[in-house]
Amino acid sequence: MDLPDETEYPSELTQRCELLECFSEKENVRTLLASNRDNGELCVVKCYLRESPLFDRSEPEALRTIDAAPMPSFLEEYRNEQMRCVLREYVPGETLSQLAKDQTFTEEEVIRIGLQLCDQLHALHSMTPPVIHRDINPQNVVLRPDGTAVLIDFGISRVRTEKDADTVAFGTQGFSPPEQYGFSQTDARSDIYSLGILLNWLLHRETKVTQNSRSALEKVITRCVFFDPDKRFDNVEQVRRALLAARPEARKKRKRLRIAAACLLLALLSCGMWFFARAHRRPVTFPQPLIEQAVRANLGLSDTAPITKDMLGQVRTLYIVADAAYPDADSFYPAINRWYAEGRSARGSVTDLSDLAAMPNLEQVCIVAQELTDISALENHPKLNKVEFTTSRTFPCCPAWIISVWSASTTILCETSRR
Amino acid sequence: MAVRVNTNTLMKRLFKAADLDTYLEGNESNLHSPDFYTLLKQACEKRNMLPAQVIERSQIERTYGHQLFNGTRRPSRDKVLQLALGLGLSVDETQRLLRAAGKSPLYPRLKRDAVILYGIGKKLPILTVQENLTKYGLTLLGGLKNGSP
Repeated sequence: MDLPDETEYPSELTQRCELLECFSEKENVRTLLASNRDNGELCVVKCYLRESPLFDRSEPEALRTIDAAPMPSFLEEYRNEQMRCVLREYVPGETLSQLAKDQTFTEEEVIRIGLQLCDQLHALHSMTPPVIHRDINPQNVVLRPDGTAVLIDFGISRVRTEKDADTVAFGTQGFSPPEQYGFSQTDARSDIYSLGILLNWLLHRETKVTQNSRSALEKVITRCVFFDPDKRFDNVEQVRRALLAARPEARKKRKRLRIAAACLLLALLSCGMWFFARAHRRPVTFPQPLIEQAVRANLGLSDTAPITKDMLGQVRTLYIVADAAYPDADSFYPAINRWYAEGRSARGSVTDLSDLAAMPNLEQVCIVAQELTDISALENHPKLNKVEFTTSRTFPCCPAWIISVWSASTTILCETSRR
Repeated sequence: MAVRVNTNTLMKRLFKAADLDTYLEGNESNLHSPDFYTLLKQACEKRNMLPAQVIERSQIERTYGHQLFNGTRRPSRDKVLQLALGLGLSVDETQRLLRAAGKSPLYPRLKRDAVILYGIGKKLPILTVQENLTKYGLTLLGGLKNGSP
């Protein structure tokens, strides 16, 4: 058996690790899986051959210090004449491109993956200096056994201090934004573009984004992939918020909240209405017992029957002479004549007419021989057409509409036109 | 600031990018190939072997082996190689099976893969391959840490 000697690899690498398999062999870059000879821990080795434009570069400080779990952290860099090898943690799991062979992704799953990648991109973009990944595609996202989506492979990630010409390479066809092909410098929005293409690819297995944005998620994707970076989201935080809002539960939740608010309003309204109705049905109390008697007489109620607010609306006339109340005009006038015949000395207890405020439909009020001093309560009775207050005390204020009020002794005569 | 680039260069770059894109290549070939479990069953039938026999010859634990056959478990790369040895697959068939399982093909420039390739090509029994691996100080088949691909 003539075994390969693996001398092309830096000796420190082969001393430290056993090389297990080759994940990919592209033109000038080889990606291997290796295991640490001491503890069996797996790691990924990215080997840039001499011909690669990335051979000369040394892994910049920012890329060495990425310590943002769950993204793989930098382990070591080894170099010899033939190649430069960068060791990184190995993230177990299958890549999205592998998984996509057997399964489809629901919108919810795509949003979930998008949110996790946003968190990781945020970590990269917020480093000083910011790191732009530049190669987001289904082969560079691993789904760990616990379901977390992890961004791997910082091969062509660019640090702000480097110019694009230093790092070159074009990402993966279909996933790279236009600016990566030379129109302008790449920045955080380039990663956003690739993220949008990735999410779209997870849904439709297409790198082209069709413009029929049906769902909220598709609208987010559309905004990620505008040709013009200025039209895209400015940063991944915005993308994250948009994705959160696009979640079906978020929208269901908002819908539920709206329904709940409407129900609450309805409940409050009906409560209010119920109280209002109840108030109407609550028995009314009369500070002036004589007026109560007059109401009972007018409505034909017994002495104990409860009087509610609604009932008061049906009172049209009130007749009181001294200390007695009468149901109608036919019984009122004889009573007045009797009072005159007996010397007009008897007096009733009515002192004010505030009780009448609750009887808006009054048409005739004849309250005679009382200690009345104030009839202003009658101001808001539009149906009133006859008033009689014979022998009440003084009227400090007299509603303008009263046609005539007369008394035999000290009352003020008010004659004004009807309102 | 936009850099003025010749259109031709741009076009060449665009198409050059396609060469670097093994993802698309891999995807295309997989559109036409059957899935791992189908291939596995086909290989068994072709050789008139029962799953139990294959599992035995592959030195895979019985329960695990049956789970592999009925699709309840996804195999690791090593397990696929063990099955290849147990079935007596050719190198091409092995590479096909590996790709169907979503694993990296055997890479002759690496020692360990080379030893395994040799064993497959020569239709060696699995125990011999394991011996060879030990001889060269390489990890045995199935001897990798959990979580390996």
